[in-house]
Parts: sequence; structure tokens; C-alpha cells
Amino acid sequence: MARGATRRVPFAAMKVLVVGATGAVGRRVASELAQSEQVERLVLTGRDNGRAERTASLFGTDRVTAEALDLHDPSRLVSLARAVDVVVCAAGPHYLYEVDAVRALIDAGTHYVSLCDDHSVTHRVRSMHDAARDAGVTIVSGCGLSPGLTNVLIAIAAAEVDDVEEIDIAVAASSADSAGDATTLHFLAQMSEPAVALSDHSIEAGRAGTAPRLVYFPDPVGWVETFRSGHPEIATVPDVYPGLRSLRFRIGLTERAAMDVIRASAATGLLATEKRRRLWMKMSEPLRPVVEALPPRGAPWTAARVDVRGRSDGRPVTISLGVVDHLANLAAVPVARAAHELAAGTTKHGVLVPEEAFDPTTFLNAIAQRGIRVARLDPAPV
Amino acid sequence: MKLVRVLVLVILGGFGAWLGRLLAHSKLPLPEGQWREVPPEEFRSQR
Repeated sequence: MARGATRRVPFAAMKVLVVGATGAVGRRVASELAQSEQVERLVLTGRDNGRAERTASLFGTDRVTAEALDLHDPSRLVSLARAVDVVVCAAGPHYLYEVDAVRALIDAGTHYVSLCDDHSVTHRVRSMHDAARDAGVTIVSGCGLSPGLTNVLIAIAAAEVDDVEEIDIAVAASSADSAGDATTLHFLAQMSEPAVALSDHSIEAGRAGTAPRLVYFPDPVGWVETFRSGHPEIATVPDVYPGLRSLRFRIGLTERAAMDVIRASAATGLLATEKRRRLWMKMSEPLRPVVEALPPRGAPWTAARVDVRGRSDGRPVTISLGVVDHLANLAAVPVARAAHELAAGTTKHGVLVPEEAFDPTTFLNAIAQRGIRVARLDPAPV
Repeated sequence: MKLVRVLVLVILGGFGAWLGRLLAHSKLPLPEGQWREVPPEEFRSQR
């Protein structure tokens, strides 16, 4: 295919490759895509070919096949990607693979969407925008729950505000709703890295896991104690809303004791490196059920909430939107939807954030139709 | 022996911190409002 040409896929002719399809979220992504009548061929990959083949055989159709793929070998990814229309990456933790994967997909000339939620790689991925645009591909690095649904909710809330001044993003997760080791590794890394935020128009870094605040999430999650943390939205959302004064990201676990143990471990340097985080996961395994059972612990669901503040008709206004479901669904449904949109070939080219690549309302409608609950907070009267 | 003492101190400290936080934060605020499920058609298209 010529560089810069637009690849459009007719209905029922999508060819999709899922990287990391044997993991907890990857299997859910594969399931979501396998149910689509538009997917003609679905290639599931994993480091272990046997596991990939077993996963593919679960779908009981020859439309779904398996290939071995180790992301440490980008040339293999390039050759597999050239045979499909879109590559979906669910392999994590993304701070290990995302930059090489994006480079490989630009080389292959194939659209790419991932569940990348590591802010440490966001700038490096975005620096490849011109290369992606010139290659005629669309790269959406991070289109799950956050970033992904959070970006879409912000865009929809911002459409109701004349001047967007402040945005708060909060995520409540649950150990009982975990989506595999990669998700846990990412969370541990997030707690040990600087918590970057936009404050008074400038980027500032604090310590992750500090500044506790209760945030009220959609039912059945309710109040959860959250802490400041860095996330990719901090690097991308200010470009979309240039007048934005502040943007903060907060996260918490519905099991408070488990969150406290992770914060204490991060503060004492036990989570500072990849090796330490893997060791920590291994050593803490026997204690996890005890700590997670300690009260207070909330519902085993995952939720996200965005608050967009600004002015409308000269008066201050706050729009609060949220989503709630199990984490695997909140990650898999948006990324699968994004794969459909990319295969349709109607998006701009380059490295884009979800609200640039897709119409937020159409995107959210499609997500809601897959059963994800979207809610709006009607404030209690003062 | 020293290691055992340190371990006991860490466990007791952790238990004390957990109990203290449990008692201090036992009462949650009233709901901030009412989360209302939104039908997708309520959002207006932006393109």
C-alpha cells in the first residue's frame, strides 16, 4: 500500500490482529471483536503460541486464528501487521512495549490502537505524529477506560461549557475486579512515579499516592478515597483545551487497606523498579486475600468520573459524568470500538487522542449500546 | 531475634494504622447528588 494512502475497509471485511490476546483483558478484547459481523479475520497473538491457539480455539470458528508474537521482536510484529487492517494492543505493562510497537506499526503502514495508560511514554509516542501522518496511519495510543472513555466524557462535558477552566479525572478500581498482572504492574508503577498535574497553566510534579480526597462515583461504587497520580491525559488533554487552567488525575482502590499498603510500599521505594515491582507482587501474593478482606471495602466494580468546570452564559458551571462496569469491559469495549472506526478508514492520520480520532458522541453511544453504564451527576440541592 | 522484633513492630504498626483510619473515617459524607443513567441519545453530536 502506498504511503499516505487511506485504507478503507468494506463492511464485513475487517482483518484485525490482537497483541496480548491471552491475557485477561486481551481475551475480552478478542471476544468483543469475534462477536462483530464486520470482522472477517481475527488473529490472536501471545508470547506462548500454545496459549494463543487455545484462546483462538475457544471461539470455535476458522475466522479466529493464532500466531506466536513476542513484542521484543518488532520485525515479527511488522510482518504480521502488514497482513491486517488494524492492530489492537492489549499487552502490558505498556511502558515496556508501547514505543517500539508504535514504531513498528508506522513501518508496517497499519492503523494501531492500544490500551496504553502509562504517562511515562506518552510524549515519546506523540513525537511520532509526523511519521505516522506521512505513513498514512492512525495511531491511538490509549483507548480503554483511562485514557479513552475519560477523554470522550471530557469532550462531551466540555461541549456544554463555554470556557473550560478546570478538569478533574478520578478512577476507582477494585482488587477484586483486577484485570491481570499487567494491570497490577502498571498500577504499582503509577504509584511510584511522579504525579504530574496541570496547575495554574503549568505542569507540576508531586508525589503519587498523596493528597487523599473522597470522590463520589456512580453506583454501586459510591465514595472512594482517591490519591493524586500521573496519567497520560495530563500530557494530551491541555492541547485540546488551550485555556485550561488545571487538570488533575486521582485514583483509589475500593479496598482501602490494600491501597494503603501499596502507598506505603511506594513511599519506601519498594516499587521503584520493574524488578522490585515483580518481586513485590510475588511476595505479597499470600497476604493479598487478608489485606483485601479488611474493611472498609466497596463494591468490586471499576468506575471513572470526570468533572469539567468552566463558565456557561457567564455563570460558573460544573458537568460531572461517569462510567461504571467491570474493568475488563471498560478497557475492551472502547478499544474494540476504536478498531472498527480505524478500519473504516475515516479518521485523520497521525498520533491522535480518542477525542481527535472519533466523534465523542457516536463513540459513547456505541459503548453504551454494549452495556457500559454512563451516568451524569445531578448535584444535590444546597 | 532482632528481625522478629522488627516484623512484630511492622505488623502492630500496620494494624494500628488500619484501626486508626477505620475509626477516624468510619462516617462517609452524604451522597454528593444523584447519579442518573444517561441514555446515549441525550448527548448532542459534536461533528
